Amino acid sequence: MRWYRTPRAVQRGALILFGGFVMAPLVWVLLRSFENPVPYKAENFFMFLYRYLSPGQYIDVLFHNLEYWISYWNTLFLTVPTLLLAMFLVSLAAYGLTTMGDKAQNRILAGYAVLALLPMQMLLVPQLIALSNMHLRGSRLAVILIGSFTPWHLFFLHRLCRRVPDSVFEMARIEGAGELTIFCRIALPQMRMGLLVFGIIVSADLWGMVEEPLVYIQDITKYPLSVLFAKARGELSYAGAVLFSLPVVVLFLNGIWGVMEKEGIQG
Amino acid sequence: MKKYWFVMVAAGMLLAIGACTLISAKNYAEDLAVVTLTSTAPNAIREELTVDGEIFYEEISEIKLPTSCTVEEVFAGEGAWLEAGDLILRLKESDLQIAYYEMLLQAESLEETAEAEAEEFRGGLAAWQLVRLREEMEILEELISQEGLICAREEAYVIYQGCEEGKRTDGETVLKLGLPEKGYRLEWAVDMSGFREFTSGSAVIGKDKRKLALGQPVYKNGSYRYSVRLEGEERYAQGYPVRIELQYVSEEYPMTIPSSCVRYDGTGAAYVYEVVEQQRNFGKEYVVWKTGITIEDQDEKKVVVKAALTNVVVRSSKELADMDAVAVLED
Repeated sequence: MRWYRTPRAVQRGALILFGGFVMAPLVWVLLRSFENPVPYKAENFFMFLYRYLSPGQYIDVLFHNLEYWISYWNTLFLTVPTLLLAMFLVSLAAYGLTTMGDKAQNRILAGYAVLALLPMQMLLVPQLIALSNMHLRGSRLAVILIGSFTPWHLFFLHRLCRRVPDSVFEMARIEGAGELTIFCRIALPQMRMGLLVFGIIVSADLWGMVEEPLVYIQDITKYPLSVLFAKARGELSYAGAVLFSLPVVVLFLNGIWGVMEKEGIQG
Repeated sequence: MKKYWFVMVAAGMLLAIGACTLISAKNYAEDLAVVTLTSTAPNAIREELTVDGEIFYEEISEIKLPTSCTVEEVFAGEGAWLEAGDLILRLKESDLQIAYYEMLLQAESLEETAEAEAEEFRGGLAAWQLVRLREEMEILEELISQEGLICAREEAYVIYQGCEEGKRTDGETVLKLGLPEKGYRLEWAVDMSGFREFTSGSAVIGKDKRKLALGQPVYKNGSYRYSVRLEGEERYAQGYPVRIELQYVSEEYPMTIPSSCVRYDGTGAAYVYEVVEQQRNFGKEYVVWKTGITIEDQDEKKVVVKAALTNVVVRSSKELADMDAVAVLED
């Protein structure tokens, strides 16, 4: 059997085609976000430009949409504490798990795997009952607590933590370091890059959460922006979406550059 | 510096979000239209119409002379008020006597003809002419006996005076006298096609604004006319102006709103803006809803509607559109 190398032009063409397919919704939203909110008739070139290259939607969202910005703050109030708490709890859990024997680790991870495989809808009711008993239903804390510990987070960080050789922890213990010192001085610095990537991925997930606030908060004044998009119309759909994704994009690029720089990866 | 790049970006974004929130809040407050509200209330529809009318004499006495004669003196001109016995004119007595004797000769001739040809047409005609001639002669006799003076027999107002001193009368009507003793009549004619039948009306007369209740209208010659008798001692000139006030008051409708609430779209359909409260993420918000209405009746100030409406916008500081957020001004 003879193998043929695919021509470079075909490779690039396929890359552009698939890349374009993936990017199409993003490009579409970006282009539509510059459409004038007032549908002027494009009778000449300048009117065409004014119709399809206008900052009108952005001005409306930036300076004339109080509801949007209140929801933006709600998103921040939910995402930032959840992310920080998740990073703290999960890194602590991942370190704790690595200190156990292999058998125990595998059993506990198997239990988490079962939990991770359960559909969210199955967990909603028990979680809601638990939160109601804790008198947290309707508060932001309910979403923060539920969001800050998700089984798959542990899988992710556990794998990072296991990359640190056990001998390093053993050496520290022999030298007389306590578990907290080992966690803070050895485990966390070793997991730093992993935590950064974890933070980026989890923040993107939390930034767009819809079900949790809808189920646990049930109060329009505390809903994040992602819920507001459910009833979005006009300029909120395009310019609002672009502005909404901006912090996540900036965070992602900023974080990825940091990781690449640290890992010595050339861009 | 590179170490804090992430923190600086995050802080910058937070600042930007904070600034946008403040500007949006300021613009939100400034963009709000300030509205005042009302609700449907039971009320009656009222219409008023004010027109100008005039006073006329119910009876006018016309004085005609049977013959042409010279007017020696005019004592009362047009618009003069006369008491019983007041002098009006003095005619030249000799003219009256000459005319009387001419009539006398003519009467003798007519008598002869009437007797000679009593069975003929000419005889009958002469007899009829004789009767009329004698009536005129009686008037002349009376004038001659009064030495050519014409006096008012009762209280009167000189509506028309057709004589001039030193000139001869034309033998037609020389005087028209309004007789206040016989009463007055109010008249006004106005096209009232746009006005419904009034339920009450009044006439305001004179400087003391005396009010008289009016009766039901009579349609005549394409417009409505009303007559009413004026009684009392006060005297009015012919054509004295009167203000007529007509009112229409309907039965009480259960649901009315002020006319200023009603707006009309391009097709002429009527609608109002109702204010509803809705919960937003920054708190309670008042929003206007465009509600179509059916107008059953209306006057200048009120509109009768079918549906019960609450919190209807009466006035707004800005042009409203459906679902606009508004600030409600409390009364």
